[in-house]
Amino acid sequence: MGTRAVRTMVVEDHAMVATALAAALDAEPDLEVVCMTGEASSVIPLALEHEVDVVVLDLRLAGGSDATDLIQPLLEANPDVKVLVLSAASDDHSVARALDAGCHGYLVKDQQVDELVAGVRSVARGEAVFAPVLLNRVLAHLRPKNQRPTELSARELEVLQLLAYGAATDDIAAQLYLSVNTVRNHIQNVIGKLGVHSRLEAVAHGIRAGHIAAP
Amino acid sequence: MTGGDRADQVRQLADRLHDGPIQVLTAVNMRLGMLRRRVDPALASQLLEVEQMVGMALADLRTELEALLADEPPPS
Repeated sequence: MGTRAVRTMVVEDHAMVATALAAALDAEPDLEVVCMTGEASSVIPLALEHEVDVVVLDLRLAGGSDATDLIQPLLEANPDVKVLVLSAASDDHSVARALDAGCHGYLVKDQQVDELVAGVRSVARGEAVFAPVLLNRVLAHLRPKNQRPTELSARELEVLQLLAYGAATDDIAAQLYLSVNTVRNHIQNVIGKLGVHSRLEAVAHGIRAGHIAAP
Repeated sequence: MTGGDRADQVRQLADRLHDGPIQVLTAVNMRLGMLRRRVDPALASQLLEVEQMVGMALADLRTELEALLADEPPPS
């Protein structure tokens, strides 16, 4: 007796990506695309109606809906379904929200089709799958907060102080004789170490904690 | 131009990049991948090179987009 094909749903509001992805998955003998939608309101009803095993989910849907909000209710409605995020976004905030919501994997749209196909198979088997480019962020997010490095370096404190004064990235780069990319890396490190989601939060946290002076 | 105007312009540009070239390149990359899996190995290796170039362009766009948005102060 043959194994049942993995019943897959494609949630993507860009028609040309949805059809290309569905065609790529359907070309695999062990995968079957049973439904597609780009509308947030249709995702859960369709997933239940078609008894899907894996939902391949773009995070930004028609009308600017954030599909991250669908993950938790979808898993509550059917705890057996696996959610594989496929997004153009790989920023800390998007990845952290998807992880918190309970996604089983997160791939980015610049990956090869072979990796997307393998990703669907992996989550269907109960494995977690993440784009290599995201692994540092995923591991940092999974690490308990009290084990995350929190001490800011002298340079990070300088950058944070200048942020508090309202300096833009290129101003900070000029003042500290650094490249813009280096400043961006320092800012990302500060945000990660402080466990916040934005520059504004980092500045507020830094002032509250006494790391930097209020402007 | 106020900071708010600039932030709006940046977000509109980010939306256009996300909904335009990023989606087109994504679909092209997927179609190339499907073709590669169906053709003889000599042609497949050439298609793989094209796929990798498209993938690099997509990765660059993703990185630039994130840098662009990260440079904008969050809405107050």
